[in-house]
Amino acid sequence: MEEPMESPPEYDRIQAVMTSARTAAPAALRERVAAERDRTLVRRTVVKRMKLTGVMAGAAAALGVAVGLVAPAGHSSAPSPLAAAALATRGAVAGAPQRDLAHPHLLRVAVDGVPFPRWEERSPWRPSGQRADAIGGRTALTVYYDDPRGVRLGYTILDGAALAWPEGARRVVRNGVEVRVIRGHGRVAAFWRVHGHSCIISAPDTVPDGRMIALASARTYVS
Amino acid sequence: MAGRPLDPQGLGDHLDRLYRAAWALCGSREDAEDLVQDTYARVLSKPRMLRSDDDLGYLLRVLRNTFVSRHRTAGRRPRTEPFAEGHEQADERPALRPDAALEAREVFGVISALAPDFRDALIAVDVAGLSYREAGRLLGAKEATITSRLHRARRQVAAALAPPPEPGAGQESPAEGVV
Repeated sequence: MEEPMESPPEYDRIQAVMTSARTAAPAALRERVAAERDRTLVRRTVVKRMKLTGVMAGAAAALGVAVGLVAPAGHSSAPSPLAAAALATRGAVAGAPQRDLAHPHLLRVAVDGVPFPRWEERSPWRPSGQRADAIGGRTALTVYYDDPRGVRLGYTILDGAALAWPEGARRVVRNGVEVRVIRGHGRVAAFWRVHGHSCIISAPDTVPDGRMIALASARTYVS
Repeated sequence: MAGRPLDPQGLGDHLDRLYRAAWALCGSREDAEDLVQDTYARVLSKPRMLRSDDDLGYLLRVLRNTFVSRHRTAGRRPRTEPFAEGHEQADERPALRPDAALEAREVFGVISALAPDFRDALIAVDVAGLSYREAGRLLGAKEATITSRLHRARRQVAAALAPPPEPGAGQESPAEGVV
């Protein structure tokens, strides 16, 4: 029981005054509070973007060291393919990209016009996240795909001219696409080129070569 | 216990109740506006995680803390006398007209002069519209304590706002003091 004690009989009238429309917040205060809220939302958006930029700059700086160690002599400005493949081992920093409604086999993200595939109707790999990195003066966009067993692969596309092929990689041509596959350090990576850009899929080495080659040579890109 | 972020977009929904509570705390509309604005600025200064769905309870807690801290700061400054409240527009609604109409500033003025425990209980329940349980959580008191404080606060407010006795009317026992 919430009201065990009687209020004075005149109290109802007093309470009606307290909560009447005349005691509502004035318009000027509403405007000031709304302006404060809007300023906060803008400030938070800017800070979030600055943090994201900082993450990318940090990643680029860290990768700069990696590139310096891995890049072969004579290719000082271009990242090595293995360093680019290593980007996939970093975590996603954003959610999965949306599907391209006009092209159901593609996602709505691309690098220099080279789109990322959407495999859901043909294979168990579903997009789960994405990240962007700067490496050797290039921008690399990586989309992560997960299969139902929790295996995650990273699909990276770099802007600019194609990278050199990795040394010691196995060469396979499937569906007219030249694919190079290399294994090491618990990973398997497939390299190929689309419209002059390097594309890389990197996965745990439990994924067989045949699966990597099939994904790399899938006829996703329509010229 | 996992929290949830306070959504700045929804804070405006509580503005009226927060403003009334501020008015009842300060006893002045101008101070209430400043207090509410300070409260929102404080809440919005960084992302907040709440442990319950009670946004209003959280805002009232910040409002009260801001009021107390301002009060302490003001207590360390030389006192100045405020100007009298500005003239309020007449209320056109028949329910509050003509002769028995109370001015909101009188009501909130009386509430602001109550002892803090009584004042806070009355503001939480009657002004802000919290349940007894929510008020107890806000004020760190048991529901029974809130009930008792609220009852006494209502009696004191009603007594303070009662019309003066007619000349020649019989002597009655004096009304309970405001504080």
